[in-house]
Formats: sequence, C-alpha cells, structure tokens
Amino acid sequence: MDERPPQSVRVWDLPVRVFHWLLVVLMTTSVVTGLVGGNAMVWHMRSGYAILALVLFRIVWGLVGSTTARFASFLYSPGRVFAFAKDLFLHRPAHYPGHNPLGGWMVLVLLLAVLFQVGSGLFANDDISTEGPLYRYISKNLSDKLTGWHKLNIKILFGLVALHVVAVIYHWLGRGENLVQAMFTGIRAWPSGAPVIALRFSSLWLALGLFVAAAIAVWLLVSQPVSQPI
Amino acid sequence: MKNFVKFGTALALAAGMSTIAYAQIKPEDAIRARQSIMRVNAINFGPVSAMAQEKIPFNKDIFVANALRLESVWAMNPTRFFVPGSDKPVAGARIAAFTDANGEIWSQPEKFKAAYDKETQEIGKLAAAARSGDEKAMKAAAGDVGKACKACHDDFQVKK
Ligand code: HEC
Repeated sequence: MDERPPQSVRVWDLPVRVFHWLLVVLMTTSVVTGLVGGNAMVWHMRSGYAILALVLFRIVWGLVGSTTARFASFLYSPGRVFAFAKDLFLHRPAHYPGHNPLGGWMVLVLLLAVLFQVGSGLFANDDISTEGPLYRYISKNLSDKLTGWHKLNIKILFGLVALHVVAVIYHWLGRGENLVQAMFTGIRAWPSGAPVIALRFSSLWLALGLFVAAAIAVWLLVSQPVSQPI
Repeated sequence: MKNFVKFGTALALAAGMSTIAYAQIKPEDAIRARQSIMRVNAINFGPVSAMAQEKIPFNKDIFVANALRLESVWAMNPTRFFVPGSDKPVAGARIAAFTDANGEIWSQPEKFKAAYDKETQEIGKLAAAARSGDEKAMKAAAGDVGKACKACHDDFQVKK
C-alpha cells in the first residue's frame, strides 16, 4: 500500500451525525425508562415519539439527502457484499467513504428494527397505566400481541446494536479505521492511494425543514384525546 | 359470657369456612376473580398514574377517590386466587378462557408473596399520602405503586 500520510475527506453531513448521536441518547433513554417503569413511563413515550420523528426524517433523508446518506448509495448488490466480506476476511484494503457494503445493510436493518420498536409501542399496553396513543384503534388481543413483539424486538435490537458496536471496534483495532471519530466530526482519514469519490452534500435547511415536517407528523399522530377520569 | 363464647365460635367457624371456601373455589372462578381484581386495580390506578405523570391535570378529589378505591380493591388480595389447577384455563369453560399467569407463581411462592407484599406496602403509602393531601407525596407514591405492579408482571405475568 501507499506509504504517504493519509489525507482527510468529509464523509458525513451534519444531519446524519446529529441523527446518529441523538438516536443513541434517545434509545438509551427509552431502554432505561422502560426498565424503570412507574412515573418514568411518560418519558418512555416521549422518547419514543422523538425517535419516530428522527427515523422518519432519516428515511426521507436517505432518499433526498447527501450522497453518503442515501440508501441508493450504500445498499450494494449481494455480489459487492460478498466481495467486501472476502476483503475483510483476507485483510485486504477496501475503502468506502460512507457505509461499506456490510455496514450499509446493517444501517437499513437497524433503522427497520427501530421503526418496528416505536411502531409497536404506539399500539402497546402494559396492563398497568400506560397505553400507546394508537391503542384505542385496535383490539386488546392485537395490542397484547404487539406488546409481546415490542418486548421481543428490543432484545433483537440489543443484539443488532452489539453487532454494530463490535463491527466498529473491529474496524478500529483490526483495520485502523476510527469510525467513531468520523461520526462525530464527519471527517475521515483517507489513504492517499485510494481513489477519491465525489460526494455531494445536501442543504442543511432542507434537512431542518424535513425534520420539522416529521416532528409535526408524529405530533399529529400521537396527540390523541385523553379519556376523562372518574 | 355464654353469648361471647357463641359469638367466638361463630366467628371461628366463619373464618374457617371462608378459608375452605377459597381453597375450594373452582379454578375458572379463581381465574375470573383474580383477573377482575387486577382489571379494577388498573381502572383505579389509571387516573392516579396519569395525574402523577402530568398526562392529565391534577384533580385532588379524583386522585384521592381512585387511590382509596385501589387500596380497598387491593385489600381483596388477588394472590389468594392462584389456586391449584388454575395455572391453565379450564378446558371448555365459558368464563376465564385464558390466563397469563406464569407457572413460577406455583414454583416460587415466596417470591410471588414478596411481590405481593411489596405492592401492599406501596399501595398503603399511596393511600396514606392521599389522606395527607400532600400532592408531591401522592405523585411520588403513585410512581412506586406502578413500579411494584411492573415488577410482579415482569416475573409472573406471561409475556404475550
Ligand atoms: C403479586 C403480583 C402482581 C402484582 C403486584 C400486580 N399484578 Fe397484575 N397481574 C398479575 C398476574 C399473575 C396477572 C395474570 C393473571 C391471569 O391472567 O390469570 C396479572 C394481570 C393483570 C391485568 C390483566 C387482567 C386481565 O384482564 O386479564 C391487569 C390489568 C393488571 N394485572 C393490573 C395490575 C395493576 C394495575 C397492578 C398494580 C396496582 C398489578 N396488576 C399488580 C400479578 C400481579
């Protein structure tokens, strides 16, 4: 490989970075409040609404956002995925400015799992005093089922997040790529031998507008009338 | 004195009979009884918990009424109705066609009783706070009641 010092390229836009770390904070909040229960449940619900808005935003951003944020740019064909896995296995260099072929699919799976988690929560009930805002629209039977899946899917999410973190540690210790720092700064060390790929960055105003729209949509969805106590 | 002895005997008999009555309650009736008590708990706890979390405006009268009703309903002790044979719904029974009771209720009775005692204590505190009229104490106690419900459900109510 090239011995010249690496240069830096900007790979992640601000919306992707903010999305990522906010999701970390909110997922942690959701898990903790869900385990604590009691009066913390109101925060469990609010945190879930915020996650829903974030994920909705991220899906749209995956269609209209910057190059490295787009699904079309990071969901590679099975052939590419296998080729990349082989590169990893054989310790061969393989450089992708954004998500690599394995990481890209992982991002999609994580997003869908998180979406299912919040989606099922909207319809869940805990047989104590917490009901998702859309519980009223479905039967108790179906809500109980979705509540069961809400509890099962969080375990799947734990597994996925663990895999995600292990992969990042592997890239760091095994391949000398500090992906965590890149997710904070947006900037990655780029070996000067590797080809530079042109990246386009979308407007931050567009991101802000889309996020506000997502937040309003979630707010309309979850602000249901409360029943009067007796 | 004679009357006193008679009264005492009657009381003892009544106490004995009520124990027998519960021991002999049909499994499907027992399932219906405990589920009903639980449901009525939830109906009373709902507004208390919603006010404690400021999901609905605090209304002292409604809070106190519900908290005290919860205390009365809990005093029926739902754990008495987990009688032998009620771990599964009775085949063909029209009432209580399901039960979410976890088998550990019968295999770990001390742990189940501890969860019940914990709830009794927390509901006692909630009722005391309601009687004292201290809003902050009421709200905090409601949170602890909810945690005790959850703790028992996590261990003993089957995940659906
Ligand atoms: C000592 C353990 C225990 C505690 C404490 C407890 N529960 Fe339960 N609860 C159960 C079990 C076990 C079931 C399942 C009963 C069954 O299906 O046979 C249940 C079921 C329920 C149900 C479903 C009833 C139905 O419709 O079938 C509700 C609602 C409920 N509990 C509310 C509460 C509330 C509210 C509290 C706190 C105030 C609470 N529970 C505290 C053990 C407990």
